[in-house]
Amino acid sequence: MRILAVDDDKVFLDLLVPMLRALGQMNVTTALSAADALVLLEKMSPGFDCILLDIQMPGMDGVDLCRAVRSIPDYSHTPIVMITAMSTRKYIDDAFSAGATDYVTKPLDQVDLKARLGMVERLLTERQCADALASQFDQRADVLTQKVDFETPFLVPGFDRSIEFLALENYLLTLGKKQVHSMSAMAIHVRNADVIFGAGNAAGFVNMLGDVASVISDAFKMDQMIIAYAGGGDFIGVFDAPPEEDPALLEQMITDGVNEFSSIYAEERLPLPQIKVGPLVRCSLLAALKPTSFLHRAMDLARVGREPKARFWWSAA
Amino acid sequence: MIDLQSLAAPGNARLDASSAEQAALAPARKRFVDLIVQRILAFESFRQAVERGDNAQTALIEIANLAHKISGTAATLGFPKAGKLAGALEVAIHSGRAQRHEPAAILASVEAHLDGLLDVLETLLDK
Repeated sequence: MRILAVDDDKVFLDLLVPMLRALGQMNVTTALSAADALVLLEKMSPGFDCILLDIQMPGMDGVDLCRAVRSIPDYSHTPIVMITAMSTRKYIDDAFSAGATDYVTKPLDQVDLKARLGMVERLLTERQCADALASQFDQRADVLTQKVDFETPFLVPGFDRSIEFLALENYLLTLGKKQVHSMSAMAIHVRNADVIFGAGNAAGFVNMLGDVASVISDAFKMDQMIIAYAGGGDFIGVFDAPPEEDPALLEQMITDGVNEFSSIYAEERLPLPQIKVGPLVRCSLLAALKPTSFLHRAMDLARVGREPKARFWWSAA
Repeated sequence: MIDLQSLAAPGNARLDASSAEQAALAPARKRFVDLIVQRILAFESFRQAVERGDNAQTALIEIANLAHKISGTAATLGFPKAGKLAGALEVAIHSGRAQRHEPAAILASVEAHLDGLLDVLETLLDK
């Protein structure tokens, strides 16, 4: 992997580089400021596969740099891992909102670093798929050459307000159970996603997800939720404060929005997406599970006729 | 008595790996120690600036920034006490600023943290 590490503390870079080398990452470039990093991102070819950012830096800080990196088309999907001593909720929220993929707190631990880089490598493989999809989506291709896996999460092209499902999980894991326990999740399931997927036109499947995503954007107050596409026709939204509308009303709003696309679907001989909005699910403090488990519970509940994968302590809000 | 020579023998892969990691971090550790005097002087300079009211807010932020750098590296380099004290100092300053206290009042409230950190850093110079 080609890695760019940005930190204003030379001592930290001096310890990070050998730690990365010990993990087999020999291709590491360092920058001592956001300005230097942006210059490197512009001129380096081939570009970087992964970016490690400190948050607290003089001038442009790591969160603003993360946002700036995301605005560079070639780096819109590149894994960005924040490595920082800042562990308060505000910094975590800001970092993920700015497009961070993961968040590691200093002091750095070799085992933790190894796990995060392993996640990045897996993500890179998935990203290559997503980038190809986005590229073909932009070109309005009728047929996608890139293989789309029905159950694999990916960034739905054009759904700018969403984050990757993996980043959503990392966000909740970083916050930890104490901070997640007050949050709620709601899943929006496309009941006939498998039928549309099975129709054999991958572009049609991805376009359908884009249509549903645009209607979801209209139905929810997007600034109060974090949303991701989790694969298998499932969108999952996470809320600090539960939405005012109940799931039945939201389901009707999204269904009405989707119905406006009916002529297009008729023309393409595809069934209209059938929407099911699941109940709001809150993770109980009593649940002896990791902070991401309530997402899966919410998705299980939204899938009609599908039994939950596991039974634990939950509270439906 | 433990035979240190045998522990360091090639067959002890775990120790070899650990030694290799420590050796790899030696340049960073040296740079950290080399910076201690400079950082102690900087802490004192910024402390005096806050006490004088000379760009006190900026000087206080600089103290937090220095503590931030130390807390981010010290523990990994084998200086956990310095890391812990620096982290506590940084958090206390940010907390005071969040509550909009005056710089001099914040400095007074973190004096013990700052002195403790400076003491620990000085002991590292002797090693």
